[in-house]
Amino acid sequence: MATYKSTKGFTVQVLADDPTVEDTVGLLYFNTTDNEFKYVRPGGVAAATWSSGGALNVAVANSGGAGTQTAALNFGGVPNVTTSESYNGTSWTETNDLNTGRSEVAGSGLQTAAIAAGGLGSIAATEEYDGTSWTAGGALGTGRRRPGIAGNLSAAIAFAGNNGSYLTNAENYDGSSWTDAPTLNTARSGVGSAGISTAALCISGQTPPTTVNVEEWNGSSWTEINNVNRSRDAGGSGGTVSTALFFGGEPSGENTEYFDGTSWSEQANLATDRYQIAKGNVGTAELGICIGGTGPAGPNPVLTATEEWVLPDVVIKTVSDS
Amino acid sequence: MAYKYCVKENWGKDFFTHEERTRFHLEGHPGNVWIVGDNNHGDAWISKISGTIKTKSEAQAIVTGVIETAQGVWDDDDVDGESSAEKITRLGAKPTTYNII
Repeated sequence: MATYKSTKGFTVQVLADDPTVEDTVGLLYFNTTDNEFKYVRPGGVAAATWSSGGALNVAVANSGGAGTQTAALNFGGVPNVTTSESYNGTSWTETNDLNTGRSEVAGSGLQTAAIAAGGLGSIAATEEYDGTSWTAGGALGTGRRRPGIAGNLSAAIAFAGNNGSYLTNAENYDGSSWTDAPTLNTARSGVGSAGISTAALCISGQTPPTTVNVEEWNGSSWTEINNVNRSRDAGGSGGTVSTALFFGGEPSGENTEYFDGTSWSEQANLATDRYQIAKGNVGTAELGICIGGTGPAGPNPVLTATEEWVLPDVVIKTVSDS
Repeated sequence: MAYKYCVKENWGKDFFTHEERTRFHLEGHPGNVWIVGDNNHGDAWISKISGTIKTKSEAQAIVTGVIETAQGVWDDDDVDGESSAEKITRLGAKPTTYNII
């Protein structure tokens, strides 16, 4: 176990690498790699920021996403393409295509166990990705575009969306078939998503116009919880019912909100304002990822740019003379 | 707050880092225009990316030009029998020009 002497020292410590653990807060040290004096400040959501991630090979909007910041998937998009790409935390690589070209699709799960549901034209067919290829999953009872989704290819819940009408409909997936679940309280599409099949969030979305309303699924019913600060359509999202991230969208396309399990707070903005971001439960509230979308000159140009959100345990500051 | 303006295509990973985002204001706009906080850290970032410095009016003209092109694409993208509401549903709202800070 670290002691005060070993972590803070009685003299300024000399380190080759910056520390990353929370119990070093307050440490002042000399970094021999950068030849700079540095100190460690507390991290947390107020210190979180977006940085640039690897660029997609194909610019895309209204795609679906899944996975984590270092192992993500992006698939489909305008105009109903079958394109699929995987991310390793640095760069995107094209993978085997979806079987059904689709835009306005939503995804959830891991890069090696993802599910894609819905799509423009009220697509009912779902697809499952095992890390190599997309195969057919069960068909939604109610085909829809722009749904929300949480879970993975063996246990998921799809909710909201539009099939000509704005939907309250929700459906549970058991790995092979979808069955009706209790409905949302507010019909909507283009929502944000977070969570798993038994504990999920349906965030904001288009009603129209847009709603700040957020609903939480506990495995048996939907309950209204605290609203987001800025309503929006076609934003990005990820996380759990305990911590979640909601970002971009139309309007407020650069805005980021963080959910701490109780309430939403506005945090650091995306560098590039965008909407029609890869949809679904993608990344986490601590390590988020914003994939593609349409920039402020929408509907063109569509973006290849991704951004990565990091909520740090600690922040390293350099001692400067100015 | 004072800003500088530059143009550079975002190359992806590490184009801007988390540490840089904590040190200066940064906004990306159409036409690869970047609005950068006017401090020594912002200057260092412009140097790192080899950004081409623009005046505010030059940057505004680039942003407006890209949006006007997008407006033309939007205007020309019609489907027979489609209502204006349906067109907005399909394409999103028509792009609008705006003033950068």
